[in-house]
Amino acid sequence: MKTDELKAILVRYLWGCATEEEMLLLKRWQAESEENRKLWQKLTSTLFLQRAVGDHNQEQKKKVWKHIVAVRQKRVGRLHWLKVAAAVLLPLLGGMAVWLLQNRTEGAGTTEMVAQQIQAGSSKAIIELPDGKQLLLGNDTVLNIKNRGVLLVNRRDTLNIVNSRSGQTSTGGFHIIRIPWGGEYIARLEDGSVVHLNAGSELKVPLDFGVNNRDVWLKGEAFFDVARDRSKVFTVHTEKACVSVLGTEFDVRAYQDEEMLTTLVKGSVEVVSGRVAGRLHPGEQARVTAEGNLSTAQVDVYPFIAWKTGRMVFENARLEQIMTELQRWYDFEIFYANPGVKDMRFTIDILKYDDISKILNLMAKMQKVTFTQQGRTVVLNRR
Amino acid sequence: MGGKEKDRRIDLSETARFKAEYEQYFSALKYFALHYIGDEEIVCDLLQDFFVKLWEKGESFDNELAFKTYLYRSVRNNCLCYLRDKRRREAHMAEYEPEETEEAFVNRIIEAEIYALINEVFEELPMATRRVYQKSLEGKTHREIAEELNIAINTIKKHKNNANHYLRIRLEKLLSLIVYLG
Repeated sequence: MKTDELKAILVRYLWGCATEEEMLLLKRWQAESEENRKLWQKLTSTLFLQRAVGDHNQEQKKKVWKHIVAVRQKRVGRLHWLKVAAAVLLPLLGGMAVWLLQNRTEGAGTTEMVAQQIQAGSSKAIIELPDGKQLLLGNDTVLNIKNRGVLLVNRRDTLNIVNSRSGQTSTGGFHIIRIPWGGEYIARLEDGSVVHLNAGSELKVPLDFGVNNRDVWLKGEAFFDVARDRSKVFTVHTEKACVSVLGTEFDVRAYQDEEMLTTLVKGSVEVVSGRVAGRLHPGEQARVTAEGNLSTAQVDVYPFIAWKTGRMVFENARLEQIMTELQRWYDFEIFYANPGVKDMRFTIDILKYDDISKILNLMAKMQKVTFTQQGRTVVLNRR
Repeated sequence: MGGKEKDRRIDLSETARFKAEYEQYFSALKYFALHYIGDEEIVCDLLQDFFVKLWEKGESFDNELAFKTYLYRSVRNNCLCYLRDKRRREAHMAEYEPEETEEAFVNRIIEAEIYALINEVFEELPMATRRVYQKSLEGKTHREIAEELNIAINTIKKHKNNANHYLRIRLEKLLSLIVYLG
């Protein structure tokens, strides 16, 4: 008898609903060994049932989970500081290299500054093929590669991923599309679904996408326009939760160190985090916290999807959040000379392809804050 | 969704997956560990440390069974390590440490999982109903329970009827899931 089958019969017996045949099986099982007999006695004892009925595991489970998340965040936080240190040190080193180069070339009469302006992002993506090979896609790259039965076609900022499966089944590999900071891309999947990928995001598409179901893995932010196919569920997997749909339009925002947001424009989606699930209707948004708690609310959809139409929209947002968002698109460093400015609030709706100074100047007019550009770093201070 | 397939790969680097596994196994592992260490607080601390490390490693497992075996084995090892250290601290070096057979280990897992299953279903019931159930498990008559909890005998009967009905349906559902897994 398999253990799972045994378990089921034991529980049925305890509930007084075992069949005669099952009782016979249990008798035989008991006779098999001393250990089995001991387990039988234990399970049928009142003490065992009392404990199972009276224990408060749900509360304890929640409490211990909170501790686990807290310890985890402390450790990840430490890593985060290392990253920050690297982010500060690397530009410094880079700056030094530029300075050294300049000094060396000065004698030759070339005093041209190395271009260090902060530029708006553009269409940029890195594709990693299942064999680990990487390809950089710029504005007008045309790509036509046959690789392990896979055809990638790129036309005008849209990446078509076509798996020409010639009878071969899943190899378990992935295409990975990485969008660096300052990048943006539109990927068209084999089923016709279109994915707008925002800066600093990553989308993993399995080679067997669409064979049984349609699964993709997302880090960062993407807007999905999913082609309708009732027979194949489309699921977006993120670190915190999964979003499942049959065909609709929605935005998933799952950057690390941030709450995960799913905003629904059309149709209906289901968000699943651990054992909790929530169904969204158009105009609703699901929020999943670091602890995995899920809540839904009615929202104004526009600010959450404006990025894909080339706009940046903030409604009464903290300056720190706005700067982080700008950083993803314009790819620069931030230094707060006065951390107090982080809490200033702004409402902005602006084209994001504009020069960054336009947005900064606008904010400087709205509040008592100054932005100074030093190379690739923007220094913020109170005016 | 919701139901798990037996042969599905378990990737613990996904937070959602990790949390779901934690929720599924916590009660059973707690009960299982309590067999080795009688102190609930210590057991919860051990489990907490264990899950933090598990999350950090972010490993993945080929299927449910591989993962489950890993869980119970690791928790048992952690418990035994704790006991060894404690004994060393208390200088009871000579104390006898029984060697556990594989069969005993497997039976302990079955015991823990049945416990968790029953507990999960009962935790879904209202507190008052659970209290009535507990008293009746202590061997008390309806009259005695009525006096202790200060409620009418009819209410007790109602509690038990409702609960029995609910428990049967829920357990059958959970059981069908087990068989499906098996």
